[in-house]
Amino acid sequence: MANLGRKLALGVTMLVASFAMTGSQKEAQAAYISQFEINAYLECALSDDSSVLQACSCDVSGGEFCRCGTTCCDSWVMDSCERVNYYYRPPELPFCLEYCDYYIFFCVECGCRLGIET
Amino acid sequence: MIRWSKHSQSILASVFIAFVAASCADPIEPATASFTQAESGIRISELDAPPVLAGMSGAELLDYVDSRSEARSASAADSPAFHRTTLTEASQDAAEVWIPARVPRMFPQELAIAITPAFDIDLLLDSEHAPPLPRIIYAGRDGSILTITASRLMRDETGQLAVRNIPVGANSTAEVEVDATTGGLMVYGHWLVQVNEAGTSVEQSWDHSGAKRLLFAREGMMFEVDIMPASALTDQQLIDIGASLELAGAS
Repeated sequence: MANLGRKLALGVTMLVASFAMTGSQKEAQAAYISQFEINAYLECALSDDSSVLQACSCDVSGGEFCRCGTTCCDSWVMDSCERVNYYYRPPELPFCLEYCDYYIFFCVECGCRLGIET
Repeated sequence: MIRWSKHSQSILASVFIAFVAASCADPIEPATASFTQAESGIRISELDAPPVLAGMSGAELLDYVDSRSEARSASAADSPAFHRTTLTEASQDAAEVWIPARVPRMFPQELAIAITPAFDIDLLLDSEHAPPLPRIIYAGRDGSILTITASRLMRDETGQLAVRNIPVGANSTAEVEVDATTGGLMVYGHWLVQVNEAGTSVEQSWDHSGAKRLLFAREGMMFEVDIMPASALTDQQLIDIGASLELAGAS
């Protein structure tokens, strides 16, 4: 009886965990962060052959940002981040009015950093 | 009824006067490095949060990012924001490429790329008639990223240098000497926005160790040497890289 109880508890726990994971993934899909138009880059210039440039952009986007070992950007991943240089300049003026030329580093936490496959 | 002693009244008066004086004083002026105003037009403003995101709630910030990314996606296919080449190609093709003569071995040239913004992107302080200058990005073997940015100093119609007002976190700048005749400004850190995996919470802060930038002006140009993370290079290494900047093919 006790054994049945433990199995039942384990089953309920797994059921709750699976719902929780599904919910988490749906929310993650909604959390969409991608490159900005000005200058978004976390460029990967990795190559096995030094004569060939293999470059890619580390877009951080909904449903893709927790990639554990599947892209050439992986060795750059610190969570999943992109760096944006803000340089806002009104089209009618030759220079920016207020603040400009600053970097923002956007990072999305990823379970894969903690060794959890996502 | 409360009775105030003369001593208490004196203290209260002092506090009141101090309060009125503080209220009437000019608003806090942004910290401005002395070399920058004269030579580069750079102004440093200490803020609590990146201006573009200031005052936004987490939900508003995520909505903002969403709208920006959608706008970018809609136009990216037809008009890419930048052109990317190897550093070697850029050095051969572009008329003006500024590269450091000395770079630590951890940044091999074969892993460096050049990003040239499209002509219609106001990315740098370029004049309207000059082509944008490529930005050079070195990929470090340890995962660090070294970025070299050169831009032309712009002046307005009266000849005054255009001001570049850079927002930074508190206590994050220092004046440095690039060489015997060139002063520079070191900015320690960058703005950091962290979103949790579920996309339900957002934190904004100034990350002092996330990166550091060396800024200096020379011969009508503004140069920036940026390393991420900050620990990948010492201040002196960053200064040495900046001091060695030269036009590709000049040596």
